Amino acid sequence: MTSAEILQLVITGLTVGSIYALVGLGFNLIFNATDVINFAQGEFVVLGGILTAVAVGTAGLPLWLAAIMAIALVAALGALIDFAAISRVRRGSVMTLAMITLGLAVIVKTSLLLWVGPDPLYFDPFTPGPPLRIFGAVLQLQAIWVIGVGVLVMIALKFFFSHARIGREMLACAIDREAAQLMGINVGATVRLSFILSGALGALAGVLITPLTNATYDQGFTLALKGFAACALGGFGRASSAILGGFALGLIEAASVAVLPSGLKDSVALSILILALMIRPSGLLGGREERRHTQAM
Amino acid sequence: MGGLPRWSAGWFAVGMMASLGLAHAQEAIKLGVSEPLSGAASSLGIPVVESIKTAAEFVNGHGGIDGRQIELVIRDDQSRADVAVQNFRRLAEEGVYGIIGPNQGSNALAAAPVLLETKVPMCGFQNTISITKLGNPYIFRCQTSDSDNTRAALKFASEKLGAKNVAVLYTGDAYGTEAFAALEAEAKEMNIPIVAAEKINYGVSDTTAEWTKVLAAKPEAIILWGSGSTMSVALRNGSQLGNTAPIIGAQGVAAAAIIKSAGAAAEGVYMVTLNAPDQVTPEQQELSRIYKERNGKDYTLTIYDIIGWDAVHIYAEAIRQAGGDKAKVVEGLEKLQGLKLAGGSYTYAAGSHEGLGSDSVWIVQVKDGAMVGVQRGF
Repeated sequence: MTSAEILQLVITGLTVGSIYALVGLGFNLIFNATDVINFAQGEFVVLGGILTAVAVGTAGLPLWLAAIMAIALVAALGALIDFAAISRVRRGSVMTLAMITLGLAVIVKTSLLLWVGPDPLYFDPFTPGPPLRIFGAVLQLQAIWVIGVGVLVMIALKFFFSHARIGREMLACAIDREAAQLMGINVGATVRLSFILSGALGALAGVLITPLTNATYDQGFTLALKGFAACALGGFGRASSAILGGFALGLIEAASVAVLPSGLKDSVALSILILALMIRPSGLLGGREERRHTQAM
Repeated sequence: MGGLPRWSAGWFAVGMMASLGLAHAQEAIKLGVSEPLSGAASSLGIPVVESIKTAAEFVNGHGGIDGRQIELVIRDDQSRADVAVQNFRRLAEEGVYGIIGPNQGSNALAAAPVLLETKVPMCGFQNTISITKLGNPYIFRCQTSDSDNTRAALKFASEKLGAKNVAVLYTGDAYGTEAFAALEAEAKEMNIPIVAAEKINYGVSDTTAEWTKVLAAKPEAIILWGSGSTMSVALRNGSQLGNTAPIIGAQGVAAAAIIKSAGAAAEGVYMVTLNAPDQVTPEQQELSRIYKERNGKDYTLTIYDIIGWDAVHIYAEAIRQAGGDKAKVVEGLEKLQGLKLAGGSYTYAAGSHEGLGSDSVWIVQVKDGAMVGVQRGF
């Protein structure tokens, strides 16, 4: 393999990794407030992509307006999910809540199939033009958007959870709900906010990645699986670990294509995840269990 | 007073009996349809069922099958194998002469054993090679086989494009892997080296890693075998990586939705398929006329319009050959020799249920977002 080809695989790994990382960031938001893994996170992403594609393709709206509308709508859906389902069973176990999100994922997926059908939807990249050439390797302009926005969101979330009052309240809710309530935190409102933010973040991811991946009604599960794997690899609970986990997963996949038959890509990536978790059960950067007492967000 | 005169009631009874007797002699011929009208494959199933209905109306309007009308019994398989199996069983119980469908290869494989029990033939729309190699005498292919399609792709690459070697990108499902096995065998026979072959997992969001490996081998032509949204991602990735070698896509790539979402990356790509939308053969004229009346004069036939139409006509002719005897439909099908229909010339015989041959295979090229016929028959 030439150095240009190796560089190409690295770029591919970073591009795909940034997609996983963006999806993973959404998982972390709800997890941080409720300890629940939101299985509908992949559907938030797909919904963001499809709503934007429909608004651009059918209604002819400019991309920025379509994107803002899609993000607002999915954020509202997040609020609705919490209002109509999650908040009604707050005394239920984490498992019950996770099952509810799984059911919601199926509802969203089936509704999308009925609404737009099974064909892939697509809109043009944000920046038109040929891809960048770096020492013979190719970097798609849209990938720069995905990576760039991913890093910005990570920084914003880091600040949000360490410095903003509401972010710290959100963390407190997950660590000990009753204690948080006793300290005067409005737990219900905080959880609702986490669903709204997570919906918005998922939709933002969908808007960013659709020019690379298309938006298809049934993509949510695969995206959620990889986003979840990114979180697990990095360690659940903080933004930087989702980013690190995402990039690691993307690079592992690309590297496995270089040396093994490409059909084994997914198996190799997930096997490495299992191995990594056996050695470090709380992820590469450590999970929240380890950090609860240190507040090292 | 009151009531009808006695003679009138008598005649009425005679008339009823006569019409019942006539109805019995002219009993409709039931054809079963099991296609995906909902679920993942519904975008394929809905237009196919539409064309099946159109064909049945056409045959019925032209005297039916030796005077007997076709009655369609249509069931949705929801794109699910278990529902397809149930449909096959229920359709057989309802006394259908034959079944049209299913659309997905996995559903056909699941439903095949039911045919052995019920002895009802099936006209399936799969390209998958193995479907007629199961030793099941009731499965008839009403499509081209990928063994012909892969040969056409290789022949076109070497003879028309002058490629001295090829690379293959294929999906990891049965559709892709079976075609790749056929390509390998065929390429060996034709002495065309396959310099690289990469498998793409179904539903992946990026294929640049696979492309990087394929392009490193500097192939003179690239064969892309798969279906679904991933194919338009693959076309885009190839063009982003600056690929200049010609691409020949499978029938699964030759879909309007994939071409549309691949955009400029689909321009110039060749595809192996069953019809060239820009060219109407004499056998397609009747169908084309009906669809233009219905959908406007700019309408061009799709592959789905063609296969549904042909399946009904295949059964109609086979049942004619069988003298309208339900027990002899399989024999009737095996008597069809060079039956010219919209998709091409269908020939079946005992032990050979392929239907269309390589003479019906089209290579089309995407120009300005539309498929244009380049060559037919290999």
